[in-house]
Amino acid sequence: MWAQIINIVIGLGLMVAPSILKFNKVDADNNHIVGPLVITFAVISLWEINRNARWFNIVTGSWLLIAPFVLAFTFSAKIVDLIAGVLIIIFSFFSGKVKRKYGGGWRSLFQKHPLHMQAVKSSSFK
Amino acid sequence: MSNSSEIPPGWDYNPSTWPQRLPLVFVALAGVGIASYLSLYQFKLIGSVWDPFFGNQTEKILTSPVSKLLPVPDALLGAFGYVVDALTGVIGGTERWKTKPWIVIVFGVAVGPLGLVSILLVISQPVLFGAWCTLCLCSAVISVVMISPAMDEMLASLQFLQRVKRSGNSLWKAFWGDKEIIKRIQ
Repeated sequence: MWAQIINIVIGLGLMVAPSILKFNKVDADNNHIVGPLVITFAVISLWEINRNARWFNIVTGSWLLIAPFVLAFTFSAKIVDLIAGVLIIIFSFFSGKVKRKYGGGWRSLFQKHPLHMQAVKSSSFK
Repeated sequence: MSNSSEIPPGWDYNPSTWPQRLPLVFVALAGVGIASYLSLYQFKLIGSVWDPFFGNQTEKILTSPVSKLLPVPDALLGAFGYVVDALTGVIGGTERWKTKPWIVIVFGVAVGPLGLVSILLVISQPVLFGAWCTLCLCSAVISVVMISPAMDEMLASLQFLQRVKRSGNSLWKAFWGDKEIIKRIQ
């Protein structure tokens, strides 16, 4: 969970960086779009049931590594986004402890023998 | 209250208890308050909006072309969305994940898109209008924070419906809370 909190802080950093470091319009727009998305995915994955939402931040983080070159960022924006991108990707890999079972979680809905159905079977034998 | 049949099979807790649901209802009511206040300005019933950080930028956001895309001001739609969240959060007993799947799913579906729209509005503030609005940001935080806690109950309902379908019972009847099916399926 702490890893997701760090990503929320990095997302906030992305959102405020353009006004502090005086980015140009393109660089600023990129940060103003990606920042809220990073925060959203990190907040959703704070809860164990949606911890896997953190994988979406691999996508946003990767975009931060590509965008400075594709959109020809100025130096300060390039540095900010590259560092943020690397950190976001790294912290997306930390899942933390997921103790609860949730009947097999979201993937149970697509499984042949999901955990919640096994639980029903074993309880009916008792 | 912690009757074991109320806990969905394969779960460690019951997502439909009041301690699980009430915090969401309160947060949704806070959303109703904020969005109603912002729509008062959009209806020109008040002359200015409180904003401790961005001054009159809030007013720029609230009178932007995006806010007028629909026949009713966007803050009023937001308030309506939060009312739906609060109502569908409060209806039903502590077994509603199986006794009222439809209300749980309406609840989940109401929380999801509202969160999505909030994010789009947050992005549009600086990108399209070069302005920020403190209370709009608060509203967005509220709707994003609501997503995950609402999803656990929805997952329990969807798993229940999955068991109903696999058992050959009517999915349609179970969705509306058929008592016979609830007795037969755990």
